Amino acid sequence: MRAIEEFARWVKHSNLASKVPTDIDTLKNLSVLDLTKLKLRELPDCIGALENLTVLKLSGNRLRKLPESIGRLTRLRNIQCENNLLESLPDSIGSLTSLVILNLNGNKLRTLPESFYNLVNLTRLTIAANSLEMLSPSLARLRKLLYLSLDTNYLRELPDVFEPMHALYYLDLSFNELTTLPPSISQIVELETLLLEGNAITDLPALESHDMLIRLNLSDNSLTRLDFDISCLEDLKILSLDNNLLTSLPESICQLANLEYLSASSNELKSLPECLGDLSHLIELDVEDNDLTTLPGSLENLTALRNLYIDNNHDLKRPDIPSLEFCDVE
Amino acid sequence: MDAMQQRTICECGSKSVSQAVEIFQATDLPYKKAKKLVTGCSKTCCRRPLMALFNMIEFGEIDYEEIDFLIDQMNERQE
Repeated sequence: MRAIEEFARWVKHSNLASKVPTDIDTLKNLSVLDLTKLKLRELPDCIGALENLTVLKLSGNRLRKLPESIGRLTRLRNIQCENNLLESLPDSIGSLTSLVILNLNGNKLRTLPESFYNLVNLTRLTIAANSLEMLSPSLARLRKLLYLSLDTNYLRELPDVFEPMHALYYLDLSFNELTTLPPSISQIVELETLLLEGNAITDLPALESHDMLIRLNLSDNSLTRLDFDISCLEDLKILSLDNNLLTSLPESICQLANLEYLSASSNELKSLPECLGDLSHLIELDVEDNDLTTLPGSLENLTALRNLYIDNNHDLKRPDIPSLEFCDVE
Repeated sequence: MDAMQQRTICECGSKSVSQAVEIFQATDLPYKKAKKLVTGCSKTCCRRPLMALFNMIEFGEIDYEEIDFLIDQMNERQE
């Protein structure tokens, strides 16, 4: 009881009484605590007394750490702690085994404590824009993950732990320092979105088994060619290859019967496959900023095409495609 | 608030936050293309503050403090 009273005093002392209840009985049963964007620099230890919390929203503050007592909030299912200044997590975070959703985007985390991998019920984990350099092989324990975002960190390699993550459908590894992908990536059977932008990945054959992929982003990887059979990705709808060093696209790209968005801007493309007109579902084609002198005549067969970006090539003219709503040249 | 609006949002293009707001508000282009109007380059630079600003304009409310925070965060990563 004393800790709850202490928390009520902290609320009043911090001038938060208009946002957070101070009645003791209400606090005892409080399920959702929203402290978003309140310029908080620290949380009191007595927050651990709010044992009925299921949702804790802390995003947009100036928190440098979370109190060890947070480990007492074992009913928590959702923590939102985006855009703070966290440099580490308390070991006690591993006690929050009911957590399903955890958002730590935009902090300053360099490592995660080993206890973190006790959070085996997580389905949605976002730790983008931190300073992580490595992850523990214990990541394998988070086998219920559906959504994992690790973009904008300093990861040079990943532990080879993805095989048990059968349900993972979204994986964002963009803007790290990866040069290869662990073999188990190819065993994520349900993967629908794979974002690898801004790395230096050359190990593309690992992608061939992802026949469920709907969205693949390989932009900004210094790729000189696509050295895998892209036609294996038969469900693919969105393919991004911008900012690479590609001089051509493989003919097999024309077999992606479901492709709706194809983007290969800022490469060194000298020509496009003549069969590109086979992509009957294509809605948007972006080949701006390449080395193209002509467009395939078959583009006029793209009856679904609405947006076409062809500027910054060699004097290309807008093709006659009845469905076209936008083209960046006349 | 004024200082936040006058702050450079990206070294590429050297546009201020308020200039970026004007550019984003004046275009119907998607983020990837609208971003080039601000930075003048094809790189994926300054992604978090620029994309956040673009999305805020789409939703109709700009949180300048959050943009300020994201610029700080970006600059610290580059140091």
